[in-house]
Amino acid sequence: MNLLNNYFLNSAFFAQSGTESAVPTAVSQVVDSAVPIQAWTNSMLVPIVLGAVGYLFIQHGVVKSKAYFAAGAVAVLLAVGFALGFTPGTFDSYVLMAFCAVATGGGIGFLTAREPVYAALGFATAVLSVCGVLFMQSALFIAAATMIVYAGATIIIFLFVLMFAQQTELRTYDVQLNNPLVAAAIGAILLATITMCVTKNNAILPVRVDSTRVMSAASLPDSLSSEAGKEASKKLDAIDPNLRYVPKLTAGLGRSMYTDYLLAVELAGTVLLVATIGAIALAQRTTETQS
Amino acid sequence: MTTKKSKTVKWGEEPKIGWWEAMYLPAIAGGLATAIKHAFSGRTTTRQYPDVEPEIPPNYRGVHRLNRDEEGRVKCVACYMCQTACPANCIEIIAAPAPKDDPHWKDRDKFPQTFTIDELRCIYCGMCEEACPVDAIELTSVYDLTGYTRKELIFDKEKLLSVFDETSTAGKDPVRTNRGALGPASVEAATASQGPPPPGRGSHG
Amino acid sequence: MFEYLKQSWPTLWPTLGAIGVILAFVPVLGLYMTFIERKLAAYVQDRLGPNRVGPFGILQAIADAIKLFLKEQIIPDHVYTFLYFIAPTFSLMTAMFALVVMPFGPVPTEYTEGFRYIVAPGIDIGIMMMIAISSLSAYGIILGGWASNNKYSLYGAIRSCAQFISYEIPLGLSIIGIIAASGSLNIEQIVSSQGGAIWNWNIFWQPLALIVFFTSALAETNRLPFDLAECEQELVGGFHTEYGGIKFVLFFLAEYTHVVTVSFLTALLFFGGWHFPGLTGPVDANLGGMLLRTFVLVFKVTMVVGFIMLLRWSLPRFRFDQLMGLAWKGLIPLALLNFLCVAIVLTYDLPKHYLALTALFLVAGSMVSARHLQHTINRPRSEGRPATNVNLTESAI
Repeated sequence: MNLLNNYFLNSAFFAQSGTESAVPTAVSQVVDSAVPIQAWTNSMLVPIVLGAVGYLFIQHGVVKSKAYFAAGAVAVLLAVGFALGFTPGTFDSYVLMAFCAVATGGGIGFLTAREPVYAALGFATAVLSVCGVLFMQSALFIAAATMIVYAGATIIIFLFVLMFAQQTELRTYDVQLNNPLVAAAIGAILLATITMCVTKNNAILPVRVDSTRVMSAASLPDSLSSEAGKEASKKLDAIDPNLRYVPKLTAGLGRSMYTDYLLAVELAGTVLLVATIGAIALAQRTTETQS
Repeated sequence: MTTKKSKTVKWGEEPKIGWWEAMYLPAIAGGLATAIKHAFSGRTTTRQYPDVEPEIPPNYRGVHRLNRDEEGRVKCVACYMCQTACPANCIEIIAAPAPKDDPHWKDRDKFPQTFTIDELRCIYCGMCEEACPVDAIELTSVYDLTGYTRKELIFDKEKLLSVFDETSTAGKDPVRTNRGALGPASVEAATASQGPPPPGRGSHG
Repeated sequence: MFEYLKQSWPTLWPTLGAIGVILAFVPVLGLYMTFIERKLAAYVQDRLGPNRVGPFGILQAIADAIKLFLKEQIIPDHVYTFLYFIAPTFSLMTAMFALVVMPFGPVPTEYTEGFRYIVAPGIDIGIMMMIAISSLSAYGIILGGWASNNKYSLYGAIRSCAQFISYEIPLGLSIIGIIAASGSLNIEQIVSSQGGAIWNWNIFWQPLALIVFFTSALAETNRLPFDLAECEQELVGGFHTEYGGIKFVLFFLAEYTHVVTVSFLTALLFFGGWHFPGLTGPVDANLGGMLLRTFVLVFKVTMVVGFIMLLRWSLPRFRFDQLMGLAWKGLIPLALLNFLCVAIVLTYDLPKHYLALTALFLVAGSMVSARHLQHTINRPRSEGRPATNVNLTESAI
């Protein structure tokens, strides 16, 4: 529905873009780290509860009984619903919540599945739901890229390997964790960190989701250096100096990647290249020694 | 086990792909050209079977028939030759002495009381036909044999005789060449009683 | 909720209408494509094809559909039931979802009121979205193959895994040249950049991209000559061995939907979409012009579909190592070279003629250098492969 909504807003944008001043009427709420981070909020309860529930699950290996699993899943869903339930009840937010819930479910499935293939499928579910969340936030490029790279290639390679190494019986190291307490603690701390970062005034992320974002500076047609862009950033400065100009979706991302983050992109590319060469070298050596 | 190339065995080589074929595209274009040529040639080799019946050669070996002689009696003399010759054991004959009082049967000693052929078991080899000393059993060119039950396809004497009636009235008498004369064996046998037997006859005994 | 609907109705109904068109046409199209394919196959092989149901057998598709829908639902004992049912559904879902960003008629680049011949217009990353969604279509096959719990199905699934991953790369790389030349990921804008004269069509400027794109797209559709996931002679039926009735229909429909998608993409990206010499003026000038343009697009798509079907009856199936060799040693380097040429021409603002010139050289050069593929093809299967257990399974793929 958000896509439709985007289109609706885009249509207004199209109507505007014909004129000279393509300055948004509604202003982006993307703010540059102006959020005061509170150390303790009520939402911090969520990672603690989740960590405890997770420990309960994994202390004896994977989940043994279905009823146990169902109870846990309901508890987690309730927690997520509790966290997200304070969002204003638009259709978009419900869809978003549904995606979030499915993503959480996929993650739980990934962690608790007995068979590796089901674990990979749980991972796929989680990734695809996150793509849905990204779609709902109008981050189309990231969503498509995630879909291609993770869901379309990485998990399929996982499945490929898992199907080859199909086991008839589960080994203990597949179902038993060495240090369930440590694992649960690390997971809870990670979750707490994320929660802390996205929390503002006792509210969690979705409240800050702003469906006017496509309508806003993010959908401006030109780059920052163009006339329209300069004008836009000037107006944004006048409204609030903390507001940041975000170029148009894909083009802006590309420009940003190859200017601001050039070094990071090149380094990541080099790492991948090294990995490829290493893989080829490994494969080659095996063939030589065996023949 | 080593695979030594023997001189008596002809070893096929995988065809080498040359430079022209390795370019792919010309070869693909050639294949497409062939496909398109056939697609638009308008030629078909399909036979519209139930609508248009195929022409069956007259020496086809299909459903059996039991021939009648000129008096309408079953020609079979119940000698068991066909039953003995049958490799599939599908013929079953029960012989009975010919009724002595009946002047109609006075030239016969035996006749088949029952004569059944399991058409599903038969392999249509034609051995029965060759074994028969009096050309009583023949394989016709009837090929579309169908039935709803297995029992239905175990042909008894009456059924086999009716096959004879049908095929002979339809002019579909089987043609055999191995008797030296081309033409229906039954007709030939009928004429043989008036003249000398054709050469080669009786060597089958 | 109701308020929301009421408020957004002017923009909602064209979208719902487009979704309706796709939902209504795809199954019918799929059914009739089976019929057309059977007819075409028959003509290529000097046969008559289906001709018993209705005049010229045109009701055969419907008869097939009724038969398949009414078939008994057989669930083999040994399957993983949940995934077994999910797989065909997911297969069709992804295939249809890819049509969301697919214009099936003239879409104006500017916003207009009313029906717009596309479900989601104005999506900034149209073509990328399409690739993203089609990359998911491997899941249906993999899940189906794995859930069937049958070694033939599993081999089919594993083959298609490797095939999908390999051929997605040249597919994406070949489109990059087009995207760079058009300056947009948006399909509508790629098409509108090919407007005007016939030589604006991308095929004349980047023929190599077309060859690479079409080949890899054909591999993504899992059709001959790339249908190693289901080849009858080796794998019975591959991933759909254990499927029958309506579940098989879903797989089948997904395959034909992929064919439609690929044909649409080929027509839109390389053959000018709804543009045709002589058809000038704004896209949404009047209803007649729009219908004519829709007809032009559909005609082009039909031609591509026919070509794909003819290819099926012209080419033999690849062996698996040949398949991999074609992707990794043939198509990927060619696609990269093509993109390099396009990038050079665009960066140094060379006239467009250079693009065509380089493309010609590239096609000729790639054909000449096909010689290096010769070694791969002529190499016997066993050569250079160590005889270990691992490779026994590998050679069975």
